[in-house]
Amino acid sequence: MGIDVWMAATPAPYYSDGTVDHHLSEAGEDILRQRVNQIPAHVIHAVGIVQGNFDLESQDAHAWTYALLDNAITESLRFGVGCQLVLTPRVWLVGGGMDIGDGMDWCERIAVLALTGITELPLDAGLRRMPQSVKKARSIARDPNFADRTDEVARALLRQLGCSPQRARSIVPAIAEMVADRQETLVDLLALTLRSAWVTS
Amino acid sequence: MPGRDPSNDHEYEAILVAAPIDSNGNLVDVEQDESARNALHRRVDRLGRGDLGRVVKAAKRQGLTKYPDGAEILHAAIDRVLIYNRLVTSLRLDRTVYLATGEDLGDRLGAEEYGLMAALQESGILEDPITDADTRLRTQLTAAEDSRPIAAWIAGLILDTSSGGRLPEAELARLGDWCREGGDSNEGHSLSIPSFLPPEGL
Repeated sequence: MGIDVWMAATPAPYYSDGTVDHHLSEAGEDILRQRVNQIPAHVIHAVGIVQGNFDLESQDAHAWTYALLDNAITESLRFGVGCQLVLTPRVWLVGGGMDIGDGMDWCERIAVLALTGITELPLDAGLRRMPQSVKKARSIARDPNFADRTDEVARALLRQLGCSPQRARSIVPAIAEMVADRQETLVDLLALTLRSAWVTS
Repeated sequence: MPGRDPSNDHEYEAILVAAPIDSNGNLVDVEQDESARNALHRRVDRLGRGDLGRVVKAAKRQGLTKYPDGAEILHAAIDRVLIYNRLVTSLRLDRTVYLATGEDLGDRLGAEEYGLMAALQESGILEDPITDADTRLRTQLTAAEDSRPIAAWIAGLILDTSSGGRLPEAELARLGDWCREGGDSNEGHSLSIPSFLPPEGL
């Protein structure tokens, strides 16, 4: 069979002082699994949204995201199935495609690694170290002008639902207040959005 | 491939060096494409001691002796030679684009530039195309700068705060569907939302 490898780059685990070898060690795998366990449910839900996973109210939808993460860690990183080479400290090239027959799976696994950010920090990072995406998200959320963005989204949604401007004016401040009360959730979702933008830009 | 022959400057003063190309064989504008430039620097960092030793020798053959370290030569070559596209003219040979410079092309280069270019040629860092994977992560994410996760969250908040009759039932139902379906644009439930991520600077 001819080689028809579909290459993609995946965010690779790494250590502060260098790269992880082609196959992730069992200890490294454990670290990533611990990070998976710490992902908030709303981030798992949002990953489903970004990946176009329908029926998000179903438990299966979230189970699917966890399964993708598990496959990404076990098959992509631990066993290196399809890994072609280690390119840079933070990127592994992964080949899928016709000769392997699971190109789409690779892309989904890569996407879920990138979106959840579990490989964003070195494996030996301390528990208190904050990923760059979260730092950036916090700085965005703290910006006084940023509240206008949430208002803008709320107004746009209400407008498209046919809500009158008068009604919107009464609802938007309440939404703004709820957003302000849930800053950590907002930061998590902003961080995910940033990671999404980074890996595709 | 001709190299520079100092004794023959007036007849032929061109040195050909492999240039960065993309996977389509097009010359990569290293000056404009910072990610491509970074990809080349990363290739330098991955060279072994033997490769770097050959780079030093190639530079010395062109009279460049001021850099004792091969990696330093190559980093300088990327930043000081490749970045100036005005110095180069591309010729395509097989899968590699070569850059020609020199007096015959109207550019008089100093010995240092010749040395830097010879070092680039010797290093081989320009032989392989600079692919997308070199310069960015390619995934099948469809949601770059996507506002859907946050918009769906805000939509959920609207649902919470509007359950007291501030939105008509039909509109609430539509919003509920939109949230459940991940803010996707299914027929009948299409909502367009503004980009959530702020522009550069925030």
